[in-house]
Formats: sequence, structure tokens, C-alpha cells
Amino acid sequence: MNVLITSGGGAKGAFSVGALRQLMTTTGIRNFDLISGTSTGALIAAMVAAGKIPEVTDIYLSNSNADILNKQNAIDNIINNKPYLYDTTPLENQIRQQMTDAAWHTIQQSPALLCLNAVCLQTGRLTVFSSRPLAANPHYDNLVISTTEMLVKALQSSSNQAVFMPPVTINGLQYVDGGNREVIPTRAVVSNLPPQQEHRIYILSNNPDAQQPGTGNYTALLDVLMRAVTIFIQEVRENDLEVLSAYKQSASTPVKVYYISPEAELDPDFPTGLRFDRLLMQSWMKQGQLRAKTILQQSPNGNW
Amino acid sequence: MKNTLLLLLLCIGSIRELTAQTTEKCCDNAICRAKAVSYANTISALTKTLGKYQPQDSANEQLLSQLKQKNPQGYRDFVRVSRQTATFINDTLNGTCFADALPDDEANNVFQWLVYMNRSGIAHPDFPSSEFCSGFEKRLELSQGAANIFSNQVAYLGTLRGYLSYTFAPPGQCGGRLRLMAGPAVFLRGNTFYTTLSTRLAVRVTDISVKKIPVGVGNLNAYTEYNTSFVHFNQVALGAELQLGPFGINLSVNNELKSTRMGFAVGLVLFHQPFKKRS
Repeated sequence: MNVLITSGGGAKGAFSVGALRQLMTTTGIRNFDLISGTSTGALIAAMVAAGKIPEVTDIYLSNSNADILNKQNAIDNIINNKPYLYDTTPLENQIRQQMTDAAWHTIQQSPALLCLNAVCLQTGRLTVFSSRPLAANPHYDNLVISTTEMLVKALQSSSNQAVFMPPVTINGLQYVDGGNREVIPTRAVVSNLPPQQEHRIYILSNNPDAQQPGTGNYTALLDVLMRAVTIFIQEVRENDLEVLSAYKQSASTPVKVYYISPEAELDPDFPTGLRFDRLLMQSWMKQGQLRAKTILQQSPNGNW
Repeated sequence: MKNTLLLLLLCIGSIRELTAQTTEKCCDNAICRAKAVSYANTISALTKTLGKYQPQDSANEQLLSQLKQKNPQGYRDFVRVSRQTATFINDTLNGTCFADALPDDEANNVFQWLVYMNRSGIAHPDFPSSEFCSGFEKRLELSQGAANIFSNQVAYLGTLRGYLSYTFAPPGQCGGRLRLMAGPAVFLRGNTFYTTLSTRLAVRVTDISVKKIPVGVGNLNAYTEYNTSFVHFNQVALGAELQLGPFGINLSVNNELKSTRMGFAVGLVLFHQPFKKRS
């Protein structure tokens, strides 16, 4: 099976799109059998499942912050007890523009199993929204997407950075970014790969493999917060990869893993990826393309 | 009649052509694509001469000053082309033809230098304003000051105003520039009360934001107002206001039209909020 895993990272998803385009060119893969995405990776995953590669490229090259979020007055939000900093109406409009009934129909008809990660605020558990039922697993709850509206809500949930964006309510429960528990969404993958088959797993991560050293002394409140977020993301990512590592070691058939990630943090100033700058996104997309090219050429049997 | 019809058809044709032009991607347009490729060739040749981008700013400054010394024209070209390229990418390019035209072994270096040379423009995410949101709002404002300040008959000046406010902005959006307010007010000057109609025109001058996250906190606006009891009391004022969410503080100087008495007032906005909560 050909498996695609796309990680979270906001605007840095441009790196994943660049890598994805190169991956499809080099390998000739047109359809993946299993696609798992978190956050910005969920948006990319759904677009891949819907066959919208040119569209996802355009999105990650031409969007600005205004196309994703509306800034809100923080004092108004605190007084009115709103649990978020930004209004996500522009992002929702974009998701609705892409995830139409026709797109959902394509995803349903596709042989690919689409998995989108979110975290439920009430249960605290990882919830995987999927295009077909998943194998039961103690580590996640599974909600099967049944309508276009649910697909839209699942994508909003998965890409919803808690505190920055409003939680999304589905069936009375609130959901936020799957990256709170899984930045690289491996659980649904390892639990749903059929045994006795060879698998090629392509991981597109837009964060560097190793923890990057900090810079100087952290004295400002927000600098400390951003650094702490970076360290937290790294810890979650390492746990996600341990899940895959354990699977690979116990698998009875060959599992080739291609781990494509940048060599350094793409946006150290905004590790959550909330900077949609066209020049930066062009740069990240090219970096993704070149990294994928190098890895796929140098490591035909996987690099991880 | 024939001429009018012809003109109308020409107009429709022009509008269609314009629409087609605006929806066409740069990389699908031969001229725009050629421009992208030309930028890619020029900037990659220049960065090859300049050298490899370094993680330390001081090392990059050194590379730039070396180029400036050895080849002043090359340095000027690099500064100019790196700015032009970034502007082109931001304003026009929405495809991969620029990046595709870069040599693989130089592409990362080109982008790193481009980001370095244009980082002042991308240092802070540019979000739309959170201030001056469209539609009707209500406001209650209390102010105190003095009337007739340039004479020996200085008098206390106090006001309480209720405003109906309308901000001009696209529906459901913030970032408007102009706000009109009108409503009843009570003025106390010395020992005399005046019931007036108060009107105000406010212009948003700038926003106050936390840039690092970034969130909006408030705005600075300038305003002019006219208050009238229609008989004895007619006053104009000019002021500036710091609005922080639903609260605000303002300072205005006023002039009573008939007596030309000058005064000032410091106001506190007790609330300024929409009739219905925004989502």
C-alpha cells in the first residue's frame, strides 16, 4: 500500500505541498491507499483525496493571512468570553469552496481511506474523522464522515489551533487541532494497514527532525511562549514517530518509510505557522520539492 | 442607436477581457511567465556571485559589504533585483514558474537571500484590522472639562451622551475608516443644563496591536463633533480618542459658536458595542 501522512504546521504546509508534488512526479503515484493528515496536513490530505493537486498548490502559494483569519479585538473577546483570538470565517469559506458535494463524492468513490485528526475538548481524546470506518483502537475514537458538511467540520476541527481559533462543535462536542495529540498522524495508519502486505509510507513533515537549539536568553513573555510551543510540538512529534517505529519493528512484511522534513525550522518566529507570506511560502514549497527530490533519489528503499 | 449598441458591445467585450486577465494565472500567461523566468535567472546569477547565505546576520552583512567594495554596480543590482523580485512574488506570482526556473543547486540560496533582503516587509504577519467594524453600535460616554478657559469666567463642563453609531465598512468586516455617531446628550456648563443633540464624525487613524501574536487591542481615532440645543447652546469640537475594545478615553477642544468661548473635555467611553454580539 502507498500511504501518505501529512503533518500540521499552518502556512508551513507549503513545504509539504512542494514535497508532495515532487513525490508524485518521482514515484508516479497518482492515488494513495491511505491518507492521514493533521491540521494543515488534514487540508492537504483532503485535497489529495479529492484529486485537487493544482488547487492545493495555488492555495499554499497565493494565500495571505487575510484569506485565513480575521483578527479580532482581544479586549472585546475577553469581555465577551470568547475562547479564541481570531475569527476563522475566511478559512471556513475556503474549505467550503474546495470541499463541495462533488469533492466529497470523489473522496467517497476514491479507493483511498482518508483520515483527519482532531482532539475533543470534552473527552481529551484523539478523534479520527475518516471516510470509511476504521479498525477500533484504544488510542483514538473514530467518527465516520457521512456528509459534505461533516467533512467541512472535520477539516475545520483538525486545522483549528486552540486559543487562536474557535473550537468547532460536532454533535455537541467541541473539537480542536489534532496536533495537540498527534502532529504526525501515525496511529490511524499503523492500526489500519493490512498485515502481510508491503507498505510504502511517505511522511511529509514541515518541522525539522531534531529539536533546534534556542537563541540566546528568553526574556519576553511571548518569546518564552513561542519557544515552549516549539518544544511541545517536538515532543508530540517524537511520540508520533515512536508509534511508527514500533510498528515497523514488529511488522512481518517490509515497510519502507520516506521521511521528508526540512533541515531547519522553517519559521522560527512563528512556530505555529500563522504567517501566510507569499515569499516565504514560495520558498518553503521549493524547499519541500528539493528535499523530496534528494531523499527519493538517494534512498529508494526509504530513509527512516 | 447603432453607435450606442456598438459602444455597449465594446464595453461588454472589454469587461470580459478584463475578467479573463484577472483570473489568468501568471505562470499561464506567456509575458508574465517570461518575467518570472527572467527574475529567476537574474537573481540566481547575482546570488552565485554574492555567495552562500549564512545563518548569522553578521556573516551576511560581511558578504554584502565585500560585494559592495569589489563590485558596487553588482551590489546595487542585487539590492534592486531582490526587492523587485519579492514585490513581483507578492503582487503578481501565483504559480511555481519562478521557483521552477531556479537551478536546483541555487534555489534555496536564492530564497534565503530574498527573505533576508526583504525581511522588514515580512517580519510581522499582516492581518486585516480588528477595528471599526461595520454596522450599527451603541455608545455611552461621560466627559468632564472646563468651558471658557481663556477668561476669568472659567466654568465646569460636564456631559453625558448616548450615541447611535454607524461604521462604514464592508458587511461583516472590520477595518472601516469612517464612523458617524448621533444621539441625545446632556451638557452641564457652570450651573446650567442643556439638553442637546450630539453628532460626531470619527476617522480611524491607526490600530494598536500586539505584533508578535498578533491580536488587535484598539485604535486611535480623530473626530469632530457638533452639539446643539437648537437654541442657546451650539458647540463644535475637535478631538482624539484611544479606543480599547468597548472602552475608550478621549480629549477634545471645543468652541461655543455664538460666544466663541473655548473649552476642553476629557471623555470616558463607558461602552461602545454592537446591538447583537458578533460571532
